[in-house]
Amino acid sequence: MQSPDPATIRSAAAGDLVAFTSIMRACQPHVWRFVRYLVGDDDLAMDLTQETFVRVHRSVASFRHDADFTTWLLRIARNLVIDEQRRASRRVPIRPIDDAASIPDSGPDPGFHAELHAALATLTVDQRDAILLVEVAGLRYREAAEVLDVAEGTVKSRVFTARASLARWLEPDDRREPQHG
Amino acid sequence: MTAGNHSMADPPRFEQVSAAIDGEASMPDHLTAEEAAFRDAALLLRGAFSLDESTDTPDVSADVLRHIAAPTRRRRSTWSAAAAVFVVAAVAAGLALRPGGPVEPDTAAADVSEQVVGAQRVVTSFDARLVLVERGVHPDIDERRLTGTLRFEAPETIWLRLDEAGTPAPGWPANDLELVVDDGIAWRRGLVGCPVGAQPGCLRHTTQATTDLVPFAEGWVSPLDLVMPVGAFLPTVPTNARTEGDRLVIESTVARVDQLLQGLRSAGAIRSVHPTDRAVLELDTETFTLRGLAVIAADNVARATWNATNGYHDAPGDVVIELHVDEVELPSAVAPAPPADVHHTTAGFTDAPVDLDWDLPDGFSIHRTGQLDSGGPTTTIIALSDGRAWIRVELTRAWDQPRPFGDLGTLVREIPIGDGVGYTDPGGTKVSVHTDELDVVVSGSVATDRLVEVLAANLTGRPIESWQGSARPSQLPRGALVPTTDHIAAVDDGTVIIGMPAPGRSGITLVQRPAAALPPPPLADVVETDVRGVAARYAPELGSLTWLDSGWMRVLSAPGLDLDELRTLADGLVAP
Repeated sequence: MQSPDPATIRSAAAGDLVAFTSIMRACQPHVWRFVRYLVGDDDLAMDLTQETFVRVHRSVASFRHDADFTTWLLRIARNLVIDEQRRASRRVPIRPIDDAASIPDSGPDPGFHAELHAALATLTVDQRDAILLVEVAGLRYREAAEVLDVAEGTVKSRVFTARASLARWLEPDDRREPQHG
Repeated sequence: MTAGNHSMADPPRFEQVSAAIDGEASMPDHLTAEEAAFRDAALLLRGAFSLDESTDTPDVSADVLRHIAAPTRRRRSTWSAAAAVFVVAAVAAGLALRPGGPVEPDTAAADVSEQVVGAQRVVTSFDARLVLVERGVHPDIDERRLTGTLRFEAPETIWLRLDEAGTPAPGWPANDLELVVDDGIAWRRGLVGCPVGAQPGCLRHTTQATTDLVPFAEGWVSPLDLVMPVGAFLPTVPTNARTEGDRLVIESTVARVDQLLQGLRSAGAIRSVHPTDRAVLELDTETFTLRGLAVIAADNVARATWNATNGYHDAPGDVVIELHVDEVELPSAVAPAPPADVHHTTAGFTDAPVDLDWDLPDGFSIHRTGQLDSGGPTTTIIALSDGRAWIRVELTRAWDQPRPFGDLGTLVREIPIGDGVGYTDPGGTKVSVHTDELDVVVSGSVATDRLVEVLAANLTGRPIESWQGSARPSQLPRGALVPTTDHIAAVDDGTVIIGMPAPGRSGITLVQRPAAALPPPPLADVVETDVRGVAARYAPELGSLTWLDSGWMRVLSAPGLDLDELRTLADGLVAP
């Protein structure tokens, strides 16, 4: 995800809704996809995406221009997801495999896509957030580290671990090792 | 360790392969078969994720912009807004007055703002019975009536309970609500509002609780604000009022009493209103406490557009909300604690003694002190109160940004404070000071000069190096325009920002920057018009007027003004 240019951010911070809208339209697909993977629900993802940009509008005037706008934005989105999880007093699940049939078809192989959702549900939250920030939001490790407030090397490690785990899920069944324990 | 069914004989090499796929490392030479298989699986995974990029994503921008212009459509309520209901609901009754009796306000009242802000010091406690009437709630519900009670103890305790009168319409849940703020804990129960078109199916009951609240927390209306609509009178601006019997009547807009009405909506599933709607406030002529409120649908294109978008059918002149308050003596009772099974969210404040030798303003003493640790710089907080009015001082030694501490916003005014300097937001609701050791921001339910007094007695502020706050007229670039009324200006990387502060959300913003053409409108629903002799574009849902003249794009925004008022304002702009 490309960060908006500083002049547009400054205009938005000054109350220019045209500038704010251009930022929102450029960033919302990434935010929505990221949030949807985290909560596993299209409607809730749309709600949280909407809330993310309401928060951005409210606080963009205090945005530090020495920080990266994209990481700041995704941090807000991720915090909202965490708040939602706390509010609901339950872990918001990645859509379980039984619900895979209700996932909108996203390409030529919807079954594969459903398998991906199910596979994500097997990761730890730390691994899941790291791989989604890199694969879905397109962040560099340094940027993902800022969002997650961890070291860059930690992101590298979490992404690798997540990938190794997901890779097993995404192999054809006849190649998959049996689960133990 | 394995990657799928691939043995990982050398995990660091696999991790390097992973990083190489992300462009964060070089790909190792001579991959083994297992490493190559892992690489291929990872690329297959990337392909699966990339399938999403071809999926249509929902466009939330219209809903976000509508919310910004007139916050009505969020499905999720917030505590902050919920608490604000008291501003509406807290109408004076059973007032206990400070020794010496009530103040004697001058009800001639061109300066009613200052009188309201000053009068808050007389109210120490009250009990009241409330009636709230909503009209045009939904095509199924012409009118809904809530009745209940309010109990207030200065400076920070309040308990509101409202229940729907009579039997709810078939298929509708009862719109009952309860809200308690007491000693750093706040909780509510009630329906969460949702879009009219999806009601009643989308309405659901929730109970929420927050602990460890900062004293007089922003986002939580302080209980004193709930008995007196101070937020509608800060910053203090000339305000006309008339006297009708024992009531002072002030006619304004919903934008001005926005804090009060947003809170009312969020405390339960209360209907929305438009920023340009007329708000008629009734205050007690002796104590300036709220006695009533009526909201009347406005007659303008923005209101009509909003009606259609939000599923309402109000006609201009319809009284859509009425609040009545009757003084009563309620039997003594203790506000209930939140239900034990409700999930609590912490706000990060810990009450603790603070060692600080400061001169306090006359009549004020320390109410609560402690430490806030909620993700930003660790902040020491000292809350002062004279029993009713409050002042909050926030201090930190960890502020390292080249701008004033305290989220003052883009438009910041530099002001003299004692022998030094400080900074305020456009409305003067926060005053910030920077010293070599400390950064401090002061806010409260009092006028700006009282906040300045607190700082001047204790600190000498220094300018923040490399910080440029408001711009003087001579610093504005040629071609920029300014209003002839009080305003604050800033120049940020070629963009000229002008703010005209006013209470609530009734402030006005003018953003100007050099441009050869107008960008596409943020919302499709715009009205073509003219201003200053050139074509212009009016976005009714945003309350903004955009035009291009003399090589400058100018965007004038004011949610509380209609098109004619915006055009008049635009026509009055002059060169600095």
